[in-house]
Amino acid sequence: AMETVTLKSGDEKLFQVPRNVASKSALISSMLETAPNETEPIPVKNVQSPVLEKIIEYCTKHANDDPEDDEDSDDEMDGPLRSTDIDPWDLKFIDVGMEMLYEIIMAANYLDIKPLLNLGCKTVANMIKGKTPDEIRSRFNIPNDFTPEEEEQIKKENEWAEDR
Amino acid sequence: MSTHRGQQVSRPGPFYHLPEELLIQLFSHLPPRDLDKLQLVCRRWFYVINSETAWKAAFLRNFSKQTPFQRLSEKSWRLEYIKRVRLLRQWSSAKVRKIIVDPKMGPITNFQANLADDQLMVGSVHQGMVWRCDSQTGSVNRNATLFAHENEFAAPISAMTIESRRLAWGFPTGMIRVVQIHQASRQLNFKTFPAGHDSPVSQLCWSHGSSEDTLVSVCPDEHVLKLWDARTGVCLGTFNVPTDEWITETHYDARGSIVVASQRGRVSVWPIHTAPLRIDRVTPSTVTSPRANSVDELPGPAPLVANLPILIFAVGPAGSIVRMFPHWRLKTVYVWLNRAPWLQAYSLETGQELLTFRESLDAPTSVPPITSTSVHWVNRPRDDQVPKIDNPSENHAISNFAILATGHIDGTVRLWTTKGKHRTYNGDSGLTAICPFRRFKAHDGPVTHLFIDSYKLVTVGIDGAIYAWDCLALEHMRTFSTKISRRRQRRLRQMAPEPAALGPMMAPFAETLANQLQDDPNLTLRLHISQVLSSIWELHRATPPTPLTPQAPYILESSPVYHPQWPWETWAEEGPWVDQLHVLDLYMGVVCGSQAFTWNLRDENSRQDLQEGLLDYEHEMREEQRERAAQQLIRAQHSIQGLSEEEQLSYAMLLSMESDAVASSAGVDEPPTAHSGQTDSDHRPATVSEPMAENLQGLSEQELLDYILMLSRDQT
Repeated sequence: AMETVTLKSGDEKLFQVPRNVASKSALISSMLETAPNETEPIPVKNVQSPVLEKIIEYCTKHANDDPEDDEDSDDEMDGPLRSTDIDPWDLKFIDVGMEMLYEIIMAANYLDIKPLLNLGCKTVANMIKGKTPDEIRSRFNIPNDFTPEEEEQIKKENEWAEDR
Repeated sequence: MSTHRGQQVSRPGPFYHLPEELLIQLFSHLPPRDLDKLQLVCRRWFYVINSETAWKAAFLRNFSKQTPFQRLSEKSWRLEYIKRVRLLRQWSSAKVRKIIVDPKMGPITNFQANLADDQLMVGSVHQGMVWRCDSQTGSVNRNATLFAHENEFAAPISAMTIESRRLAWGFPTGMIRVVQIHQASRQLNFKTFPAGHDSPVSQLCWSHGSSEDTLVSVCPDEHVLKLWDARTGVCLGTFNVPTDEWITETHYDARGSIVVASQRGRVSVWPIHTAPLRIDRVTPSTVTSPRANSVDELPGPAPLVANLPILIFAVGPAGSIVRMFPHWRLKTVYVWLNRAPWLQAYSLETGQELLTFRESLDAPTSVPPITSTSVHWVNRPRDDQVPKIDNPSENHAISNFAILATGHIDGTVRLWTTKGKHRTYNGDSGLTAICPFRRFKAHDGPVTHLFIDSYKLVTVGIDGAIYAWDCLALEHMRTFSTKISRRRQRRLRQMAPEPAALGPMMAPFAETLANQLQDDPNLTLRLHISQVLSSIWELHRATPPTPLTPQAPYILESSPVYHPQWPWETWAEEGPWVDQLHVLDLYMGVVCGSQAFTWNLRDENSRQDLQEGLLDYEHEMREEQRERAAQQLIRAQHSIQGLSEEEQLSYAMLLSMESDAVASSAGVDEPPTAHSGQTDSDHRPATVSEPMAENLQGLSEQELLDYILMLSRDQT
């Protein structure tokens, strides 16, 4: 039988997951190392159950990945690297609402799951890429808190990028 | 939902609250170009984006974490990016002006371009001349031709080396001359060394860096190298070369050593610093002596004679050295061999092998045959800085280049570094193995030339195509073409001397070469590396099933590099073959046979086409002038004293008519005036039958006229 551990979400829900799945999180992995025989559920206070469920889904899918690949796979030998390349399963997995995307990124950071954090960041980066500041503000619902003078000043300093 | 300034947004989206370190992570996935736009989103983003960490993260992720690139701006990562992008932009989008150097000089063997100083020099060993060209038009000014002799005729020379301020000629007689070029006054200062060699000089090499005006000459027949003080012409030392060695390449650093490679795959080293004679012992008075040409006036120190090199080491498994790259400061030499292993690094102090290049670290596989290499050293080597190395695994070879690029026979390019995880150190042998950190396909055929520096990579393929790449992201930036307008091509073809009997197919070429070498063991050849490569390639293509058998060793070994005999002219039909590649910061020059092209990226002249048209026109004008001069010369030679041009013309016509009549009556072809049917009056004087003209030389003007009248009466 596969060894399992129990995780307790912020809203007190319990999740029983195989040990190797839970170990995708560097945080949990180190906790398990310091207390290997702990039978108490591991509290994941900052993560609510819907998000934790998503994260377990991701970890289950990637449980058997080579940990070497988890580090940045910048080491491609053939041709230029593209940060936009995302695995189709991952693409479908991360196709969630803005709120959930934010939660996943926060949770991946907290639980220290590097590939998931990268996936989240890449997804957001792809939303931003090539957009104007206005488009980004409306997409992410961010207020513009610059004065017109400040805005002008910054634009001026950026002129180097325009002189194509 | 409106996000306009001043309007209160009820509840900012979640990403507004993303912690700073996550924002940096997020931004790192964006191209730095986007970061500049993102600063305008809100104050918080502005501050995060303008932190160094964000720029560094974005920079490293977008270019490469692995590439051990050299920083262009140490100050900030944002500036680093801006600077890099600006430079790359010049290479990718600037309007370039292509200059074609006047091809009159024949095959170009030496090329020196420094367009920042408005300087462009091309030299031809065949013609024994060096031309200073107009860097704007490529045209040759007659006054800017440098002859190997003061009396302005081209003498046969056997070796030549051009630097920006000085050039040296070696003659088949063993004589050596140097010329200092004073930029401001455009004056030349010729100097003939009082003593030279007794046999042909095959190579000349200035000291590395320009602080010392010393020169090394190679004389293969005497089996010696000589070291000279170029200012006084005094021989500072003689170095004996083992008699069975043919020197193929010489490098010399006044504060380091003389390093030579031989065709037998050996490297010989004479350390200069251990020599009993110091170059600075030449007294200042002799330096300024106006009569330095006279050997008697120079007591000088007794010349140093070193019998044999201090250090000789054989590189690789018996083969020859295609090229070597010494790194003086680190006392290392990189040797490019013509057999696997293709590249090795050796210590110049001990001859020990330090570094070997492999396809992968796990398996001892060798890379495909290397056809070109280029090294981008870490910083510029400063002679006085010898780094301290305590850890043996961090030995000389390990830390001395940023990137080394190799081009391969299959069209791939590999990038190497000694940093990071792409290396292993074997403590027992003291040997470090490295594998490429990047590999990509650049050309369809062999990569014949390569250049790499801190931001760009330029590759040339066998087809003559020249590509510029961003050396970090390895993105193709631009293609440079050596193609020229059809009209000009036609012109060039007319001007070019008879193309070599050998076509572009290299199999017959190799065969002819082999025959030539058998027939005449003394035949001396200098083959450009690209020519050798093309022969490898063509042989490779001609017989696909057999594995590649490099023919280069065969050719190189049986042909001691000496002085060129064959002008290799028109190579391929599809485009000019690139013989040499010179890349500077924002300039590039290539030599294709008897033409040189330069690209000036700083000059953003949009009227490039107009310029080319003008150049074409100028060129044609010059051509016409040249033709006219040639005609006049012929006329002068054949003219009859005292006759006007018309009279001579009618005379010539009479003669030709007469001979026509003779020919038709005799029913045979008449050789001397066979052109008589031609109507091109310009060529007419040339067809005057010479013996007849000479017979008439003694006649007076009146007698001639009478004679002509008589002839014309006869005709009617």
